Amino acid sequence: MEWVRNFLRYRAANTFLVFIGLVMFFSLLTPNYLFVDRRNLAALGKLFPDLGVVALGVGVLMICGEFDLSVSSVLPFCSYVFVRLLYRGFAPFWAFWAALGVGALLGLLNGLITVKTKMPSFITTLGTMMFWRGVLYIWSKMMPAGIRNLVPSGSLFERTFAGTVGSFFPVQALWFALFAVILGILLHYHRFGNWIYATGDNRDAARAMGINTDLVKTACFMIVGVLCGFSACMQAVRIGSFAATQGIGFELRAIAACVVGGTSLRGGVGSMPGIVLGALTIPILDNGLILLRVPVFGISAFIGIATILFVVLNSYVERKTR
Amino acid sequence: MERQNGEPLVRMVNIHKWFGRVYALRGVDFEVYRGETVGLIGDNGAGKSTLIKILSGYHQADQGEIYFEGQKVRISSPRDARKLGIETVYQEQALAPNLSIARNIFMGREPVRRWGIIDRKVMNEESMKALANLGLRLRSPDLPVVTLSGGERQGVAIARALHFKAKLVILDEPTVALSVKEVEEVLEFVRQLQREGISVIFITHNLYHAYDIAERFVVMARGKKMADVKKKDTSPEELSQLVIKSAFAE
Amino acid sequence: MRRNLFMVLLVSVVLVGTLAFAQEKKPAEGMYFRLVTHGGDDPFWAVVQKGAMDAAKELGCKVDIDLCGGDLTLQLKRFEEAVAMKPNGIALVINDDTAWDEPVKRALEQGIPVIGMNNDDSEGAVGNPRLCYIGQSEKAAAYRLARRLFDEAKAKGIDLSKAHVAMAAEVPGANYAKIRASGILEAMKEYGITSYEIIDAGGLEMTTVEARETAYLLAHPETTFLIGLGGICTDRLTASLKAAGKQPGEIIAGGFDTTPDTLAGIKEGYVTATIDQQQYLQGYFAVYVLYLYNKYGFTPNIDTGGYLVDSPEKIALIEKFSPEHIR
Repeated sequence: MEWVRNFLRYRAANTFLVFIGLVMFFSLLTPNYLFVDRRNLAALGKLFPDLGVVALGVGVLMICGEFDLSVSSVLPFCSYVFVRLLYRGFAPFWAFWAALGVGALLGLLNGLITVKTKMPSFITTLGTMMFWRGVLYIWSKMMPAGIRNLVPSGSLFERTFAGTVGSFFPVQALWFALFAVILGILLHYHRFGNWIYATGDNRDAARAMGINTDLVKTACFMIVGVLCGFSACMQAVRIGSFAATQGIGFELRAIAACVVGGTSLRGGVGSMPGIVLGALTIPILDNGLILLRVPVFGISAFIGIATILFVVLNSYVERKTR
Repeated sequence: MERQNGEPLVRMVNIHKWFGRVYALRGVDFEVYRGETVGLIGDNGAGKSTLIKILSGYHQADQGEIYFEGQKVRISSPRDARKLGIETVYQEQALAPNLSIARNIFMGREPVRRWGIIDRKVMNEESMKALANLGLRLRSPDLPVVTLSGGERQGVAIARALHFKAKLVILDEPTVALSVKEVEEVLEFVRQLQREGISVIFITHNLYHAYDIAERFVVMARGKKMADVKKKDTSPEELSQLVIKSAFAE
Repeated sequence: MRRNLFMVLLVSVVLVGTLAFAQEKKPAEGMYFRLVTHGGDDPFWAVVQKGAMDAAKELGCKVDIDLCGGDLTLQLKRFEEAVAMKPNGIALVINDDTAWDEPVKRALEQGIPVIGMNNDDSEGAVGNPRLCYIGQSEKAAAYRLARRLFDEAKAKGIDLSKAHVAMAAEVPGANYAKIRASGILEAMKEYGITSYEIIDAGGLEMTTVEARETAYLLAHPETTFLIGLGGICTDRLTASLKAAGKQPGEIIAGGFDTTPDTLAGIKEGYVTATIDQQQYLQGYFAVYVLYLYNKYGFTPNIDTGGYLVDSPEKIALIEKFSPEHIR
């Protein structure tokens, strides 16, 4: 039983247990086992990464002690950059990298403003969120801009971001997994990851030990920006256009996903497995409840209750295994 | 252990420091000899913390010079201080509570393999060795620091200083908020440092702790050095009087 | 001689210039109108704005539009601010049956004409003192759409008494959703359909809407009709139907607004019909009606439509003008 005890010592172990419980619950109780129906899993895997990829970055940022509320504006902004470049005649490949670059720049800006002014990032990113939303509004006039003819269905680019592997496994889920692995290695195995944790857990101690906490935070903001850019392109290719409503609500939902996955709002606590589980939990709850034929009018109430139950159960299991 | 062989290890000359309009240090001279333990005492606001923060690179002096091992040096960051061999154990937790002991000891100095990946094996082994050197017995280097007692936590911080071959260890109020037993643990750690021949600056309010461990005492008040006495020339009561008098003087 | 010729030339130039300048003067020059709307970040309102701006350009007046994003308190504040500016007229989206009664009355008492646009008090002129209303009769449009869908089902031989109607709304409690749903329910009564459910699609974010619609389709195989009560829900119909493994026409789908994906869905046969609200006209006529009221005192009620888009020809028409943000 040694491996069980070792497993339980992992911070996200309790989240994992409750998550497994949730998945089993839905798998067995939905009529005709709909939850594990190929179409349902494909739909889930195709859709949750839009928020999931962003949540990965937001989680890493929360571990280093900061918040980024501007994701809900940065994402549509990058999407618009992507789409406008396509209209200008640039190849999707270059437009994509430009969008990532813009995301990185906006993240850099968030980071610099936050560390230089020493104001809480909650406030600074609230400001940048409103600013970029305003800029986007003026620039795009909020009109949708279709790109189906520029990124045709079946083209290599489209298949890379919105296709399927083996005719049913959605490629978006693979991208999510890739980013989760890369960021997970960074967080848990790389020295920079230790700097991220130290900065979030005790910034003064980290500084005293020679860690450049400003650099760490700015780098984390840039990670979030780049992931926003990526998700923006992934989403734009799938829905076939820029939509001004892309990313609405992501700022709070990403934070919620991370908190559900065990990330502390105070920084210094969290893990990649936890963030991944958190990013999966709310979409699964949403999905499973509908499949259970719960009345879909006002389903948000049920999702809210279920989320709270999940978190309560999570801390209960954590205390029992401490 | 008195080892005053001529040249002091550290010499701070005529240090002035302003924080905005607050004149925190008004021309302080301060030295520590090799292998010596100095107790830096004085009431709140005397400038003790500020002085040693300049030595540890956290602040920079506005005026004055610092000599280390006879050479004039510029300490512009904590990294510079550590490169010289000056390690500090801060009052306000020097450790990140949710990180493991090993990750705390090697914070900022993680042993790495290729591409910056942490060498876990080396980190854990070295951590246990560092703790053992101090006589601190802990179950595993993966324990989060928050699970340790106050005394053990200070031990980890001191073990960190010891491990990185400090020549001078500065302890800023290390016995604050500790139980009697824990205080004795910490003092024992400091004795281990002394046995290694490391110079120690020990800042405290508690004159009895200071008297127990230090060989010389420097009394500060309102940014100035008020007295510099050797242990054999004084007693805790006399020190106490000195501190109180300085607080009212001028 | 030379001097006289010069004088004649100078006078001619001045005369012609004045004439030209006089002809430049637009009918509504110097007027200021304000549109206080609950619209926000969606393409629907961008078209309304285009209509209003085109009218403003033609008339030579100044027009400001408030987009309050569904926030009623903010909209009330903006209305008061607009009134304080003493414009020549205000066009207001009346999205609440009681909150606007007082403010509109006070504005009218101050001599500022107020007309309703886009959304109206459910009791119309009886419920609110606005001078007239320009917009789609939401209920009528929804009714028309529902009948079109139900007729399609009848033609396919589907037994309507066992049919189930699912209506997806971005914000189920919002006025537009309620009124459109009521129009559909009325049509349902005529065709003998009783089973229905309103789906909370989870807001304006596209992925959530698609996820919920797909999950619903999988969970409720008895669904016969899937109707989007708003533009975004309608836009996501095709993707959701495909994700749920449905064949085109297996489920009769329809909705509102003419986004590219909705039109594509009609072409592919997944969606039967959608309503083009012709919202360009709402903005356009709002400005013109206010101008004409100022000039002659007219207060027409204009039904801007509910143009049913369900054939390739109609789609082509929409697509022709869509890039210009007119349809």
